Amino acid sequence: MTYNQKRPIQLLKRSQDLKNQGKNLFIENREEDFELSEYNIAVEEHIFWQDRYQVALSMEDFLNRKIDGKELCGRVYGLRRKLINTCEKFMLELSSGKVKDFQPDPRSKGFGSLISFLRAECDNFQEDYANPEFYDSIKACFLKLQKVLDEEEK
Amino acid sequence: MEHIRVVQNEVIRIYDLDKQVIAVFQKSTGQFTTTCQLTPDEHNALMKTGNFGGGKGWFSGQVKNLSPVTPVNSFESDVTGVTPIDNSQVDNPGLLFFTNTINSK
Repeated sequence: MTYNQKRPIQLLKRSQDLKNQGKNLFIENREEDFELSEYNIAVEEHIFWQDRYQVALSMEDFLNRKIDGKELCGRVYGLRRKLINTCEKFMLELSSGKVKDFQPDPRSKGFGSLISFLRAECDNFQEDYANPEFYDSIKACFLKLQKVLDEEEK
Repeated sequence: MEHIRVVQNEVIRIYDLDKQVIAVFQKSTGQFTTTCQLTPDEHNALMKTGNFGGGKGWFSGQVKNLSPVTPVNSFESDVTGVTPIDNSQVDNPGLLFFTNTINSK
């Protein structure tokens, strides 16, 4: 995906204008809302991609029993919070023209679903992190991530 | 007044579109459970499917936390009266309503 430099700014401004009128882009024009979402997702994935080794390390620590599930999920929630904050800040800078010529790292495509997956699993197994299913799920996810990181190093 | 209403069994989710935050309530008791701010990816998934568990991309097929959602027609019977929402909030077009089952583990 080539990141259009002008279109997301147009959509962000339109979204903000509607907010100022007490309206919402999703309600007024769903196609434009989904279009803006796609741009936001590209930013999210690009930003989260930069944390890929940290994510992998946390998962590995859990799988090697260096940390427990509670600690892993604490890290996941923390990374997710940081991601949301960084995305919001980045989109503000993009709409104000401070960020120019942004292009997402093509390797980051689809990576945003990783943090959503981990968050969902942490929610699922809350108060039951010792459940072997949780361990197996994180392990399967880690192996998938590790394969991608191995390919990157080649 | 325009809402997306999706009902399953145990949980009602109210989504603030402007803040991209979900508030979760137990359907049976109306008790507030938690809030959750969504990532852009989750927002998009929720708007398109009613779920936000990261079910696409690299990890498609692995997420199993949320059941498929079923749209319903009766907002009054499924939501009103069991959540602490007053009429002024119901009329807010920035709020979307979902219900869902937490069928984890």
